[in-house]
Amino acid sequence: MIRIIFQDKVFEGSIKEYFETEGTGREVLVFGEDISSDDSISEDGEMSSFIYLYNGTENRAGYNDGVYRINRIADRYYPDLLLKSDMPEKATDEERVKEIYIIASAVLPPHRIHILEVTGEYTDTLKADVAGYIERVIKAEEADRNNKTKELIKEKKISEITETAAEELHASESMMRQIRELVRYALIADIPVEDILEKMGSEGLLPVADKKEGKKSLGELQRRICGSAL
Amino acid sequence: MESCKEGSAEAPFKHIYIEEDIESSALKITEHFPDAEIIRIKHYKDVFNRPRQSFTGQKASPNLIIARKHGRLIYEGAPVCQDFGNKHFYYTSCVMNCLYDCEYCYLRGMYPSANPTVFINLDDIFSELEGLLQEHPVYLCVSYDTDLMAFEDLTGYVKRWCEFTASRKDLTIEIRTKCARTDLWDILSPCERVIFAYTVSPQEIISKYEKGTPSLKMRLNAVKSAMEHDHPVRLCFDPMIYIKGWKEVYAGMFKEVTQNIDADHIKDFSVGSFRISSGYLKNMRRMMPDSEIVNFPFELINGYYQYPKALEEEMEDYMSELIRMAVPKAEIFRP
Repeated sequence: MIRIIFQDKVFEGSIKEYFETEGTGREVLVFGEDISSDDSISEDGEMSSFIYLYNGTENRAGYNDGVYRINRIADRYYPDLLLKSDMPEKATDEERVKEIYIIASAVLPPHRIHILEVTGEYTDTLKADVAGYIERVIKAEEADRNNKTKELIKEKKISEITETAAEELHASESMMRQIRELVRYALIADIPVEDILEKMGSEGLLPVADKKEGKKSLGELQRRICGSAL
Repeated sequence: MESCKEGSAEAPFKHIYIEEDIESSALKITEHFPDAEIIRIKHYKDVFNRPRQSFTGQKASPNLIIARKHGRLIYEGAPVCQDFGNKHFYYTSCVMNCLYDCEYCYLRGMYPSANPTVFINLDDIFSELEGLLQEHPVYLCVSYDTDLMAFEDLTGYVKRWCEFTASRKDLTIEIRTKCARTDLWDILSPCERVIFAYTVSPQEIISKYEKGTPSLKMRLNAVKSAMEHDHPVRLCFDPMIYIKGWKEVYAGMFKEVTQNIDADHIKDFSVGSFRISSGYLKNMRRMMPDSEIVNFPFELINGYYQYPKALEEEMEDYMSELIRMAVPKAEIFRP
């Protein structure tokens, strides 16, 4: 979920208009100027990206009208500018930006916080620049979300295999941790752990009668997963 | 597992963070990056220690930090590191983090940031070292938390360390590297107390797990060149990484070593299987849930994760035996 906070209503309208016009169908939450807590930035610890777009009023000398990525806030805070962008950059000392950054950085990693300053008139060109930047943020977040989904699927499989094996081994908690580690490693290293467990079953090594036998079979499982020297 | 992979990531060193009171001293470094955005900072920790940074994202898009280091500058060697028979074993970090991207590197678990950080006050390290040298001889590793050879164009620190060491008879230094540069031998005078320690890995490991590093062939070419220029060379088969078919892979690598360099003239050898402190490994597992290396079911012994004893011994014995067969008088160090 991308959360965008606008200091000025004019920004809100233009972004909504852009995303509706383009029909991206992406989830973009738009908030008004006021954020009183980090609830607006992260819900239930769910990772999200955060963009703050505001009208620059200070430190404008030497800067042309445009949209700037902020790389330093009040000599103390630094968004991590990992996302590729041709947008020019500048520092800001504006108090409201500092306050918002502090709130955002309490829950979000610094590379997910994007502070954009509009200097001068908010022309159509600048609107397109901002929209393009938001698109990049969305794409990066979608890639992360896909990875996270894959990770959740893997975790679910690890849990399923672990729980079945633990039951058959009469495993204690520490044995269960060991099984989970073995199963995780096997899945990552493309070792057919399910086949190994099935074969152990056909050889009478699983299920076992008690924990003592379980420890022996767990040692055998470790040998079959971890290789030659064990 | 993070955004900002290649394609969406910024170019390396697009941003350079410099502590504001050392800006003029940093010019020799920043002039290499005329297009970089210079961001002035009060203290490097304001950037380096930001919470929840993406180590993976920063590896894909590193920024440079230039700072002055305060406090203690030289540390006693860690238990997992080899002292090579030296009683007074220390290390120092004039640069933190590395240009290379090795999946097993402990820096991933140790530092909150992947951004290379260059400390410009090398003279302060020299001063502290002078104090230690008044007390006893010193064996100092200067390229543990980085690869100084790879940074040489930016910092010139290898040359400065070589010159400083040559003028201090009780000082021996180790410069550990995977860098394959051979042009530096023309500007570095050989000294028997400056040991260039090359980490040598099988090409299969390099290709899969040592992103951005020179190939085995290039490293061996650099080793050969260093020896031809009379620099003492240590070969480090450390960390050995367990993979399927590891024996064949390491035997193949060692064959390539002996075919390309005169192993009889290697100063000494280091052999060690992958081991790491428990805290670092926990961080790395969180960061790299798909890594085969860090998710191996290690044994935890005295706060350090290592391969199960039988496997660890078999790997290190096997490598040591390969060396002994080729170089019967080889001096081999193990953890």
